[in-house]
Amino acid sequence: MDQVFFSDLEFPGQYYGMLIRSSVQHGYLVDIRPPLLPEGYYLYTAKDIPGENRLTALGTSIPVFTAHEIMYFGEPLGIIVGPDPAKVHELVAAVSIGTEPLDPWKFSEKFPASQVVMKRVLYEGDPDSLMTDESEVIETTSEIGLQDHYYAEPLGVAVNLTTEQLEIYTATQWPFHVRATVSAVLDLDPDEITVIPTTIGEAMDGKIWYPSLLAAQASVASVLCKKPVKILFSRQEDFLFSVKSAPVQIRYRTVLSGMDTIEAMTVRILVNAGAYSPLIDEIVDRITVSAVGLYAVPSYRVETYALRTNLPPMGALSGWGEAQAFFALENHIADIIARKNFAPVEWKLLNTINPGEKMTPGGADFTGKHRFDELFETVCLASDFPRKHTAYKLLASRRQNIQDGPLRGIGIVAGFQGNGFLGKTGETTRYAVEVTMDTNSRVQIKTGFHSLQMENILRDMTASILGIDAAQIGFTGTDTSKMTETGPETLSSKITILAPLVEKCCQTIQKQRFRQPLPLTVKREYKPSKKDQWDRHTLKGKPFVSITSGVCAVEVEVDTVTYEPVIRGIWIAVNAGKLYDRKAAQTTVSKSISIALSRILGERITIRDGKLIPKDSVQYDLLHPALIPDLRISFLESDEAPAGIGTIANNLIPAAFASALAQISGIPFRSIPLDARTLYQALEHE
Amino acid sequence: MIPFTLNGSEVFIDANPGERLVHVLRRFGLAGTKEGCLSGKCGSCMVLLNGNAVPSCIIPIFQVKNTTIMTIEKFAETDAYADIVEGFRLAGVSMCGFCNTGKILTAHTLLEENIKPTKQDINNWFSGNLCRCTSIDDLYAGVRQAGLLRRKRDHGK
Repeated sequence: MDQVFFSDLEFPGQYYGMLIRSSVQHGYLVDIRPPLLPEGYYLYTAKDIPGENRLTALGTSIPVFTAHEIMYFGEPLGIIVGPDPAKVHELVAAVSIGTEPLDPWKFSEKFPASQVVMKRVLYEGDPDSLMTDESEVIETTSEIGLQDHYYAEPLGVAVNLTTEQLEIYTATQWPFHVRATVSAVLDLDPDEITVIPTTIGEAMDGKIWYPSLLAAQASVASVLCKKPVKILFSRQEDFLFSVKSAPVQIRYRTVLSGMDTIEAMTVRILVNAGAYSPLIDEIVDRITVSAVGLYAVPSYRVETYALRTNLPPMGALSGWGEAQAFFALENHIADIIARKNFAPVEWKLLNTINPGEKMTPGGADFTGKHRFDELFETVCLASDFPRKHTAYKLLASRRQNIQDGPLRGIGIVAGFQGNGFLGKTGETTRYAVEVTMDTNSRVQIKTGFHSLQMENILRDMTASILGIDAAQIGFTGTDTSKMTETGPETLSSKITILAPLVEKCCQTIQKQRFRQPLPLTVKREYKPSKKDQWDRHTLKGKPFVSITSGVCAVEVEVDTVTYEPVIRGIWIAVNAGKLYDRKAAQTTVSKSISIALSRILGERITIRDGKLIPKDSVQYDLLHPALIPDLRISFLESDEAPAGIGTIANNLIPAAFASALAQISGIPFRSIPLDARTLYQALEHE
Repeated sequence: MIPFTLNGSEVFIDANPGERLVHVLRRFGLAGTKEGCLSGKCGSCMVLLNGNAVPSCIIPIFQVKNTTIMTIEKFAETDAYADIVEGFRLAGVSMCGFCNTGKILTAHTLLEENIKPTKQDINNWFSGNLCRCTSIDDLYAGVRQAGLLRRKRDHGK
């Protein structure tokens, strides 16, 4: 697959587009007063849109250009296009916008009912009745802030207008959503639109629906001015206005039984949904289902509220809320273990559901084998966790002063990654493949995805099943006119859904190829069975296509002078099912670890007066490679279906890291990032 | 007019002296030099300036007067490039392509200095390359593999 970047594309007579953005956080738009536009420069707003002024994804709508109520600072109100990008920039800066400000929606513990965009409540028994004045209730509250997806290539789109087609080049995880959106916005037949997905980079889930919005904005301008139009965000524009991970606040309250097992638990989760969040259904369900993890809790209540605020649109980022849930849950569990002086591994295993049992929230059916005992054993052996944990505990207990080094700690965390969408119906689960073997035994695979790594996996698998040379296998389709229509490329859907479909096609061809004349074409579609359905209303059924369980230990040392945390080691074991490509799996987990560490140690976003701060775009630090320690990644392989592994490390590492720091300092850390600044403030205060 | 040597040819550019080198290069149609962070941190815009890998987004054009600039397009014609790309391939370095230029040119400059780099050397040299899509272990292996190929080639001469 060739690497193509929309930012490199130039078409004859191309115009450049820049968005006019709101200057208030919340208010009504009164008017837009542009400067005098020179010849060849155009301004388009909501009233110029030929079709629907909205993008719809997973049941949520977002205006292409806001016409009435402004919902966040920097919301697109229109676009100016013209041949010279510098002049376009100058004209946009000179636009005057009239508004009537409104009070912003704030994210806080107390909120009016009108602010709630989604609510989920799951319960079993009456946990409150067990949390009496006499009982010892352990309570913790964790907060996880915004994170930027940070793509090397800033966001944008290039639209080329030919006589027959509107060609749209953009880095998208969902090309067919781009096509559907532009079709609705321009009131054009989808067959008149071709979307050519360009190189995404690490997916990170920030390009699921946002490129569709940019494509709609550029396409409106392109069709109206009859020129190719390109929108290319600057790094700062990308940082300030693109989708971020949703901030979350989670409060846990737990009561233990006389046998030291969890007897009752209440969880209250607040999700900051921003001004718009098309993925909020999935995020809220996923965070709710993950809130108790794989712990067995007889009596519980999980309440999740997604709140509308006047921040930029919120997205999923890797994990879709699972990472936030596991950070808060394991932070809480670490607190229980520390207070009660339990042995971490033994206590966790004692409280984990048994293989084959149903998950606690809503009795969600997770019948797979989680193999936590083996995963813990693998990580403990590799990391020497029990000995180190005891030794560091002793060190901490004898420490008179924080400068009495060495300051070392180790944390261990168990959890899972849910693969595939919870709502397994409609647009998110349209996955189909087509495999053809021609008369020369050459094979063409037609899918809706493009990824070099995935192509290599599918090529090796196909070659192995059909007993042919990998060079005889090719892939069809580089744009929506040649691809099979699919849902978004996310949540490990390629490995958990697409790869088994291709495998089945190849197995069928292998059975038929010596009995029937070539060419042979076999098609397969993903159809979740009734027993695999998840009921969004009752929150019962099978929540994920599959679950990947994992255990991770992180060992940390804090510099006694600078308070800089240094990671001494990371050990992770993943229950991976069938592995198609061990090397690719190692790389995937390694990248997930890097994303998690980057979030913990460096990525910090401040919000002031409802705005992200421009200087943060320069200071936003991805992890320096020197800070990544030696990684020990183990896989428990089996003949079970392949499991997704793209976010498991990201789900586990932040909590293990926080647990290690808590062991060093005796101070619980309830938020991330956990960099030297945070440590200094906490330790000095202590 | 600012004179400099670009990919072996002498060129003169009429530009605002403060204009970023990356923008000037892209005006020449040299799209291999990418515009990423514009703050010298990500390495997507690396070029060889007098043989050293530098981020062209923080080099004002006046600073390149009478220097030699080589972009990835010209460097791709060299044996050194072939060694690095092959080394990365053998090590399974996955790259989205946007920051390839920075990784390849940084690896080249490092190997010019030290043909057998340690992990620490690689960490230090790659401090100006940020990326979410490459595993650091693969990068270590890729740079070392490229060094090995370069040593073999040099030995064969």
